[in-house]
Amino acid sequence: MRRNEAEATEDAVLLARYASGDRQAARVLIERHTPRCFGQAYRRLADRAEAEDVAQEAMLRLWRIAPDWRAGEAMVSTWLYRVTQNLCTDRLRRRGRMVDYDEAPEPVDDRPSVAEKLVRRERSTALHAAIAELPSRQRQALQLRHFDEMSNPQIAEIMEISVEAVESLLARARRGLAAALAGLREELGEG
Amino acid sequence: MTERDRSMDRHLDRLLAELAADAPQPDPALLARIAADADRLAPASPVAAPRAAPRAAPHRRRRDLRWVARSRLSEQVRVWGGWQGAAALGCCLLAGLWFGLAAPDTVRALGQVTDSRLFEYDFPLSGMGDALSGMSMDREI
Repeated sequence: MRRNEAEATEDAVLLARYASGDRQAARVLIERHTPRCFGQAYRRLADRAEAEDVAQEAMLRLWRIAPDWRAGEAMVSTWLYRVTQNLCTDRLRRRGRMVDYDEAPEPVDDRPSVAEKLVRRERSTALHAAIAELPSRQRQALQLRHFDEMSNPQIAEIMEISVEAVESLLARARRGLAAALAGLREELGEG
Repeated sequence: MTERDRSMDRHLDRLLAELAADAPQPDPALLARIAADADRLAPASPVAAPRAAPRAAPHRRRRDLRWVARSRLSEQVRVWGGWQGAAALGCCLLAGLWFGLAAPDTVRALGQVTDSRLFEYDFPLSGMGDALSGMSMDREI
């Protein structure tokens, strides 16, 4: 059994244990899924406080649905991803605008070297910009694969496409990124 | 795939991994809030209750042994008629021990009076026979 599949099975077991009163099971689910929910929300909302609210709300919905959870019908990770996406969409609608990647604040880098910080920040900015330029489906597949560490079958389930279509989207996204970054090797600290 | 493609692929993987590693992490306060939500919404814990029991078991067991000993004693005392009865019984027991081990002379004499031979042949009521015959009663009766 692959890691993602084993994790999905374990998630369902943990959720069932939580539904029967085991609070320790909830702790494991929190540690496993909150960083993903928060990261996903932060990428879309570009606001830490809002991303925290979304992550908390998504997890709250998980606790509420726990007694009615039917294992095998959905994976906890993909269910949480969808809930987080919907919550983010609601907030963005309320805001009345979508946030572009180049508007997003740069991640905090606490390395001591200023030079390294600058190089890394430039690299990060360039990469964010290149990802933002990708078509939305390719971008979504790439983010799910590399930032949310989901397997291709999980991505296929979330995006409601076949695994082959996911592979194709990822391949095209990587080719697009490579093309965008080809001229920026020096800027990216690779020159 | 050419060597150049492979090199670009590795480069891309490294950059994406770097970007993923730089992703902001949730604050511990957020995790605490989510844990509090989970506790608040958790159903009554059938798992937690038996978990508490084994921790208390060793103490309870020792207490149980003492409790059992005490309850048996009080039950026995109740059979003897309460603490007063038990005290009287204890006194009798001690007296019996005392008589048995170091009886005083009077008690020893009493023992001789109750000797069966003395009772049979030297019964001190010999004058009583005449009195009984005077009442037309046979001595042998």
